[in-house]
Amino acid sequence: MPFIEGILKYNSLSIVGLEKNTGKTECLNYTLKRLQNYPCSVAVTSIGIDGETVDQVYKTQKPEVTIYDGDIFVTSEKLYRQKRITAKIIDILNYASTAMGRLVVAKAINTGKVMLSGPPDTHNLKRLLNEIKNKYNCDLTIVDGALSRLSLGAPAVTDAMILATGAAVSINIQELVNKTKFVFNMISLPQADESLCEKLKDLPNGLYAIDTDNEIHDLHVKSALMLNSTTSDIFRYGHTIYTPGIISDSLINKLKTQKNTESFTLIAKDFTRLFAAPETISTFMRKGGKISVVEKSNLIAITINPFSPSGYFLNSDKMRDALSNAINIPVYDIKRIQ
Amino acid sequence: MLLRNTYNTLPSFKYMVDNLNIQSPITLKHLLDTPFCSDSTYINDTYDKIETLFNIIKRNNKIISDFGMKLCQVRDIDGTLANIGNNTILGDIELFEVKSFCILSNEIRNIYNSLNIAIVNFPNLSETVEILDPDHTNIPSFYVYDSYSEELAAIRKKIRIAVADKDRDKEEQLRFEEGVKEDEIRAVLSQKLKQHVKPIREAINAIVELDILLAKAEQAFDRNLTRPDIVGTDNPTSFVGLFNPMIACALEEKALKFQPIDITLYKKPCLITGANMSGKTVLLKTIAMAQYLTQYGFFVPASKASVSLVDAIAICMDENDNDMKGLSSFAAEILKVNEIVSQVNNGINALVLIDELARTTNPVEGKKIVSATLNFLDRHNIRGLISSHYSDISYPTRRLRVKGLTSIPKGVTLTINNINMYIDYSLTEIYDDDVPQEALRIAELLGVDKEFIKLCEDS
Repeated sequence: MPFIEGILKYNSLSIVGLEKNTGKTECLNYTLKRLQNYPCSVAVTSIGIDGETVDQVYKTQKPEVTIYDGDIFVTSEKLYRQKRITAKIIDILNYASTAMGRLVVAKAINTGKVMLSGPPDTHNLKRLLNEIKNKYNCDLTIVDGALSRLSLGAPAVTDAMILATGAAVSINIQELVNKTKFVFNMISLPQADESLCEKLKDLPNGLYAIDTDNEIHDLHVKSALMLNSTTSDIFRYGHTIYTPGIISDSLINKLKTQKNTESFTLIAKDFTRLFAAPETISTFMRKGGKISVVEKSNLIAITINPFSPSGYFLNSDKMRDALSNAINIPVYDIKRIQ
Repeated sequence: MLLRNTYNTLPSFKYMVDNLNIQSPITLKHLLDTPFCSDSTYINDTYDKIETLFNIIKRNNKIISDFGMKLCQVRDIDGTLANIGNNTILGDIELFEVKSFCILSNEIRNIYNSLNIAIVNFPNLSETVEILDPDHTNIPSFYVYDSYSEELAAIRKKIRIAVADKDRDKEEQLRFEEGVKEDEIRAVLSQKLKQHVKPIREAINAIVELDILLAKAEQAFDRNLTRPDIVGTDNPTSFVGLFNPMIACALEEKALKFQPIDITLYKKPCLITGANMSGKTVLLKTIAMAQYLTQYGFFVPASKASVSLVDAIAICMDENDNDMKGLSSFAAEILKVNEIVSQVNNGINALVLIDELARTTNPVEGKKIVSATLNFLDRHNIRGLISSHYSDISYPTRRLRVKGLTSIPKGVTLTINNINMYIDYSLTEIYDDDVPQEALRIAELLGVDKEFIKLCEDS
């Protein structure tokens, strides 16, 4: 059974799509179905607003998630009422309300379908993941990456991730491969030195320099986005820079225009914080600059969807081979392996 | 007058209310509905309850966390209860809320019963739980259980088969039937719950009251507060070792101490004088706070207290005229005095606290206003404290003076930071109408420009 065994060793897994309609929900359904064959208790939720039966952007049919007898699921009050499953409410969460009401935690009594919704932000998602694990004793929680945006950061709080890509990203296979590979490279960024990560992980937003003795210095810049308003030399302590916040073009541009770019290292909290244009990041790295992360995501597999919402259909085998050649990670067409 | 109306009028009092360690999210809105109470029986009854809990906390501090763990899980189900009353058919989420509330309420009741005390009327909600828990699990979870109806159980059995057979049409049809059946049962449950709204509301009231009383008892214990004796309307209000926790706390941060004050207030006005920085304003605020605390059923920060209840507390202080913006400070003040006059004329037994009355007008007329106010309050037997810097106040009345600056040891330079240590804030009765003239001395001690002080002295 492809990649299911790889999932079992983690407590949480996020499934994120590179674009809308890249087959994320199919991947989720496949995973939930296969997990029935293993003695592990499963919970499933989402991040952000989701769950229309029809995709609001492209008007394509959005599949509901199939939940099996005994699984736990979390969704909003409104979507809970629309469920097509018999389920027992076990909790209502007051801390993470969405536009569609509070979140309901329920346990399936038989097999059926629900639409998922979840906490609106990573902070509350993290809290929910903890609660599911400790209060409801679930071995594995799967987070539907919702509106197909990496930026929502679900991978940042889950132990492992699956990336869904497909014709919706581009109908040109080469471009699809390039875009996917770029994201793959970001996910694969190396983790910074372990003892350093320990020190960096709880720092508040701002900009920090790390000197050659691994000492951390606050550069007193509120965030990397405010870089242009600072007059002081941010490299006065050393060439390694860390920010827990968003990394945009301006910070990387500043690094890549320095002499000896190869001596500079940029540390991000996790790969979802890298908002700079792919070209900017690529140029920086090609000039020898290094990027590492504090929290590394474990990518388990990539899934592909050959259908594009605009009506194109790519050759699944060609697509898979092209990706497999470019990326060293298992690639699956979920519809084919089911 | 409810607590929500007075809550923001006095920071020292607000501090004490905010300091309450309220556990349940539903308690806060009820807390703000606490009435300003002039009924000694009611206040003494509240105090008896607080004292009972206070003694339990003294013996066993753990009781607070036992209750706290349960109380903090209580949720607001007012909306759901209203729906039951309106004959609305409740959904699973609402039924879950009712069930988990009732189970939790019974758990809190168990802790309460284990204490063997009688301070709230706490109904047993087991009968309500029974309705929503046909399988007798006593676990806070809910769905329309199979045990409600054999028919429903049979439909669900068929659904399982249809799902296993991948017979989509059949499954859809059965899910529809399941929904219809479930709705029937929910309608019956909602109807049955109607009779239980009253005990549930009683339980909510018990939980809220217990939460507030526990918080007040815990505050009394942590902050060393005292139960005041409630004395008759004509008796003096008196405090021994009265202190202001908000200011004491701020001083503590600077490693300073709040000097507790002893004061007795008869059913007559009293004029209070004292040098600048001698704490007259703080005294007035602290007395107002203690009176509010008493009438809202809190213990008070003093080592001993007797309080005579009033109908209203009239405070006239600089920061109190927020709602009179647009008026000059004199206009705001005199209108406030006028309000007090009309209250007193209407027979309201008020505690009147006025800080530096008529300071913003000329001393000649200012003194007249002070004298007249004292005269008016005296004639109406109103308990009041009026501070002033004016000398020669002609009206013969009781006078208190803050002792003020003590002798300063040699080698000590006074600064704005250490001056408090050399002020004696205690009060003495005086029988002349001199006021301390220490403004320039204090200015000098504070390091104000020497030439300027000389200029003042020669002026």
